[in-house]
Amino acid sequence: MSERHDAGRAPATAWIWVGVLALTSSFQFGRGAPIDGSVFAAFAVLLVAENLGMLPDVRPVRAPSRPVLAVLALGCAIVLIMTPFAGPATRVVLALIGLASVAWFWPQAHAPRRAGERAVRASQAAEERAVRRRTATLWAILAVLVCLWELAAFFLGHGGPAAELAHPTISSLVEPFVASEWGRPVFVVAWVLGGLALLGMARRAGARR
Amino acid sequence: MHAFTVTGYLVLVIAILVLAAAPHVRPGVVVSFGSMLEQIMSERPVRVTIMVFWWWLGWHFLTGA
Repeated sequence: MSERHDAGRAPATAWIWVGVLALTSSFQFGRGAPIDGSVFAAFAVLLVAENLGMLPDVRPVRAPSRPVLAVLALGCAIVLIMTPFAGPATRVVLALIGLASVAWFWPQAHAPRRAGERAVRASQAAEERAVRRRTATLWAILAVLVCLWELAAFFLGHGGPAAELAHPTISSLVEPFVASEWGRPVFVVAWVLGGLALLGMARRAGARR
Repeated sequence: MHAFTVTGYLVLVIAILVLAAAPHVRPGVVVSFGSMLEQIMSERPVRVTIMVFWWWLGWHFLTGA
């Protein structure tokens, strides 16, 4: 498998992401969301198998052109906006989006890049690495703080309706907006555009040729 | 306590906005969020994990799960 590091050994950081998925999975099972928990668990298991070199190499399939991708995204957005909230059509479209995303995000067309790779030629590798490390650290700290605040609200809100009102989770704050007439299109458009942005980043990062 | 909890979220949102704007205000201190994501997504475990969280956001809020 050409994309693996150091003759088949996964880097230590690869296991951190397995831990993130496994932890999220256990939290989802704990809050009574077995489907969500199963999805996170399935990907944790897949990454474990990948890190251990147990999975075959997956070559990237030919990606659809930008216009085709735009039409597909528009079609998905229309279905997600127009069909009944939480209905079977919504679930089917979301499942299809998930499967298509795996086909896009999983393959690795070329070896992972290293921080400051381009800057080596300009003799600025160390400085660029430091800036990138600083950026990643700050975002990681923020992500952890959001998770901790959400977890605290979740556990403190378990003492009944009054406790739930006193300690709202992000979901309980956002859900009424998404369920509203205008909130749902806004959420769907933002979510689909976010997905398209991630597709582009994944392609440039090595998931596509 | 409701106001306290919500204020906590707002503070975090402001911090996220400040960090997202920082590369445009003080170039060279931090790189943009997109640039950082693109960099770390060159590793498959990161790329797949980010994809799963993005997909789950849609599933969670649009199916009422």
